[in-house]
Amino acid sequence: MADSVDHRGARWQRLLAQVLLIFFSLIFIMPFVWLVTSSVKPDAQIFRSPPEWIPLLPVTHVVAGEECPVYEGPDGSRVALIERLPGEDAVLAASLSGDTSPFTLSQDIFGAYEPVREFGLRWSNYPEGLAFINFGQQLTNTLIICLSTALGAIISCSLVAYGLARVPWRGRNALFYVILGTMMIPPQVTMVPLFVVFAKLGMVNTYWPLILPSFLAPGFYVFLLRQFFLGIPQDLTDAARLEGCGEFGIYWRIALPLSKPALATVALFSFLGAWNDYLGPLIYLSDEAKYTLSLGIASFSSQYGSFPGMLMAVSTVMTVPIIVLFFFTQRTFIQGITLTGIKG
Amino acid sequence: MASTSARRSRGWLRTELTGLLFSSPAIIGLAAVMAYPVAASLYYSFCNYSVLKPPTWVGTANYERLLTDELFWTSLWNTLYFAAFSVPLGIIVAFLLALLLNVKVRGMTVYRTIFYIPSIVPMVASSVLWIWLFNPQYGAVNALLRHVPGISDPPGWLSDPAWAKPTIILWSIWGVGNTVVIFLAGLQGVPQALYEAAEVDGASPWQRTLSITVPYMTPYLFFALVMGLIGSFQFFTPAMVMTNGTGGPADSTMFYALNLFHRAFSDFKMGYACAMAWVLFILVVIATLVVVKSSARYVYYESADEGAV
Amino acid sequence: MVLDLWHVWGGEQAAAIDEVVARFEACHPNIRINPVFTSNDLATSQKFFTAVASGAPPDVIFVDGPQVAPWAEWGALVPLDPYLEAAGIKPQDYFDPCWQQCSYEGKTWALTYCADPNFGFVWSRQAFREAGLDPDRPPTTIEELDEMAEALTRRGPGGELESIGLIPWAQYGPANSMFTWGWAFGGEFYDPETRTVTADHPDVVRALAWMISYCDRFDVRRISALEAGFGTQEQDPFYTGLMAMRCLHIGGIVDIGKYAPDLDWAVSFLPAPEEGGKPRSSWVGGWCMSIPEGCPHPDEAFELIRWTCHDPAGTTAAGEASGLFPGMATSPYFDQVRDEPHYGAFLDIIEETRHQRPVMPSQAFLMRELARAVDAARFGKIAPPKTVAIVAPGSPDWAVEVEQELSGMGSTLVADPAEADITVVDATSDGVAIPHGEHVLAVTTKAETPEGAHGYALAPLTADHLRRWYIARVALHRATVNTQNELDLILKGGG
Repeated sequence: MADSVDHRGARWQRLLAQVLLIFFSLIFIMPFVWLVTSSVKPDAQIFRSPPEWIPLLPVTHVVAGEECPVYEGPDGSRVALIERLPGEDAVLAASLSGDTSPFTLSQDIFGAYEPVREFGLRWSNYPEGLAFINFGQQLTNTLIICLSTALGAIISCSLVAYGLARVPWRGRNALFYVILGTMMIPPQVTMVPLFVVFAKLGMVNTYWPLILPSFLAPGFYVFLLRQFFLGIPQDLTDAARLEGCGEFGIYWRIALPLSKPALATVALFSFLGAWNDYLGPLIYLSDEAKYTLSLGIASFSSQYGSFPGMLMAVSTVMTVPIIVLFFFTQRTFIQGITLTGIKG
Repeated sequence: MASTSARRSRGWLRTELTGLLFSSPAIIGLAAVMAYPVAASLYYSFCNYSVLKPPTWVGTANYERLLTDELFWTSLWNTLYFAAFSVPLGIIVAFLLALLLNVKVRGMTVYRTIFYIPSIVPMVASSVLWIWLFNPQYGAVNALLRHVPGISDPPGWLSDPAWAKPTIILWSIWGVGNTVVIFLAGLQGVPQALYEAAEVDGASPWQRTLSITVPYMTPYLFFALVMGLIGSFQFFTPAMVMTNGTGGPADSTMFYALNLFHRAFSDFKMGYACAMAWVLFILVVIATLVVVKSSARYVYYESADEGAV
Repeated sequence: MVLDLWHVWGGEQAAAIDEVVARFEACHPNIRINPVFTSNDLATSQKFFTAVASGAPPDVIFVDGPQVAPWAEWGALVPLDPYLEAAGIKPQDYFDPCWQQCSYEGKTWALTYCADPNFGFVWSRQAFREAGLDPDRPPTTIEELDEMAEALTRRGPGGELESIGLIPWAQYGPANSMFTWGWAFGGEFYDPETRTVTADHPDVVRALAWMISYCDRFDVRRISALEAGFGTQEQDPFYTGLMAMRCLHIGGIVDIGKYAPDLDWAVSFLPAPEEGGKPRSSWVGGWCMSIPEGCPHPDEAFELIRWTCHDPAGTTAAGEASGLFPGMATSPYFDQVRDEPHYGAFLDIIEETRHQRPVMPSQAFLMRELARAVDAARFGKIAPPKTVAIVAPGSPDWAVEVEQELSGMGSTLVADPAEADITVVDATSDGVAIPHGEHVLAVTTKAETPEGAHGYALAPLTADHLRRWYIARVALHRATVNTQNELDLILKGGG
């Protein structure tokens, strides 16, 4: 009896969760849906009031070999606009049905006509946007930086985290607190002196200033990995030590293989951090051939011209592969994080 | 006896060296990319410095001027306001979502992905997106709100000084995906046996959440709190993009980091900006210490000493 | 030989730069140019300064006109005087404000690439017709402008604004709007002789008080909501019919042709107040080219600047490619556009331009302070005056009227001007001492104000006028004091 009530309770619970999840999902995905639909809209439509979710394209009609926009009058009659007559308050138009020979319409009458639009996707935002920022080149640059950054973070942070978590040396707590402390330093504090350092090293306009710091154990990832390593059962490492394994051997043969999920998490977070970094590439890269996608994206909206359709198209291209990647690998990341000291 | 102690001391040395060796990337990093810039900026904070001319020592003048700089206080207030709402709200929303995602229902991978999407969209793009969505005139949010009975005059969002900060806070909550992932990871580790035991005792789902999940999750909540605090004190890029760097309307989105950025790179008052940065650093440290100290009372670690932060 | 040229234009204007560069290279076979876009925000200067600081600057940098002086002060630029002398480039070759904005501390630090006549006053003839106004008669005075703005404003059923005649502070940002109207009202922002910031000049105050009168007339929240719908460039409110009148940047000509070819519009001079205004007012904006400190190839860099900003062929190339005016007044490019109606009108404007934004090192700070002042005033962030004194021996009729008005404003009447936020005096009465403290103002009942007093003719003298004027005065006074402090600090000891 109690059992069946409980099961009913569980079912209700699941249903409630399902409903709430759908509700929150809709809220969370709405901006992204807007992003994707905007990527196939003409720029003018993005700013229409009231907003339109469905992409619409202006209808055209071919008159004498020329594509002309179609307008609809208050009575529902449609004409193709051939040209605006310069110097006169009138336009030259052609009816779409019946007598299709061109005729003039005074501006007073034509003013009441509205452009006709119908469902259609402006795919050209994609090739235009990708060409505008030299996407192939920038993607390559971005991937070089992101992958190196992820690699650097994995190597350096796992070493340091192991040193902090599993080697009982005296300075470890002090170092750990210093590392935590550096996370609190606002990046603005160090920006200028750091630039001067890299300039003195001749590394400005190279990828080194963007990659190198990740090889020097960024605090956040050290923290994540340290917590994970703390959870590796002592028995395992003791056993290895009895078999004559050195600390590095334990790190390499036991700690790392056991920590694949945590390493994947660090890789993801550091990859995304570099992927999204705007300020770093902006300061350090001056050669356009070295620009990254985040810089490319910023060039779609400047004071003298914004290309929202293209911006959203390129953003979609940048986002979707990562979404797919996350979709298939999410379990790993979720296993990769532990803060409680003992892996659950 | 003597030989044991010698061996022990040799072992001690060995351990020290091993630890140092493993930690060397961090030590080199601290020395190379941290020590000099941090020291330099501390020195500059006591100087007049416009980057291209050598700094001149002015003592504590920069810090004294901060006290009477009305915009400094405004930006500090805005940042505290932002932190006070975005951090707790973000944690609550993320925790709620994580709890929901931990219930075994169909399509879980899809939901998880959806909540993570905002963290993937490039920040420049998502900020621009926010400007559109919350546009009072043609934005989708107000278009939706106008259909809600009782709302004839939806807010002006980023264009209204009273609503601009809440709009940006909403943006930050939208981007809680990373925190959700971290919480999910924590939830996976809650021992299932505890739940079953509680169920046998007749505890309701709500009671189980409060008495098992929340205590078990405190290290994760604590982590999110500390990270959120640090991040919100340094909050910058979206404020920059969404207000075009003006911090408007009427200074309502002039956050500390944005103000600092203006002082540093519009006015090139590097000394002053460095003083601001150090004040910020001290505030972050104090806030974090308060959280850490008070956490000892409520954060529950399974292994008492090792896991503690 | 390759020169690095850092410019600020993405999109269309980037193509213009590429075109100018191509034409330069065609006649300079030994010099190649590598144009680099560094997006036009704070980051531009950040990137630039860090590059100069580390000894790796570009060869040529684009500088916003008002930034020339600060950048020169901080040592980021090289003075061009020896080169200018050698090339025979003289001040009279340029529109005066264009030359002025590049001159600081007796040296010339840049040449103007584009001279923007800020602004052309444009109106939609279509909207004028629909509102029953004469489409060929734009407002010439502020009083006419106000009337027309009302006639051109359309409201929806819920009272929300569907379109508006004009938003005074939405002319390319609040700071630029403040400059535009401040000068049109007869104000001044800076005295270079004494290095004094004068942004609380009575006529600037008068301009801001007028600007925020639109908040009261149209409801500031509703205007903000409408304003937020304004896009950039292609979605400019003037093009989309949301704003029937506007101060237009010259780049708008090309944009309207592209994004709103149907728009029936015309351009003229800015209106100005009947009393004490400066009709046909305008100022120069635009970008300049300069050589950074530590430039690897200064001679070739100057040749690029000279050709682009002073050569007949170069300035013509720049004008044709960009649709903007060269700063060089004698450029043959102007013959091409003189007869074109819209460009011709802008040409008339720039030929009469007398102003450039203050040439001083705390310029960016001033811009931010002005923007803050306008924002604070229009969003009601400044409390109305609490205490008012009326100095009027013999209690004339106007004093009684003022008293009645003030009772509706929630301020207390006090006898002693020294205790009052505002003092209302009769300017015709002799021997009235006008206290001139931070919050003590003098309001006169006559158009003429006593010399030296921060006076204002209030006609009609209403509580609303008084309140707005007080708010404008407090906001601008704060901006003035802050900027002056900043400036003094810089002049005293650098950064």
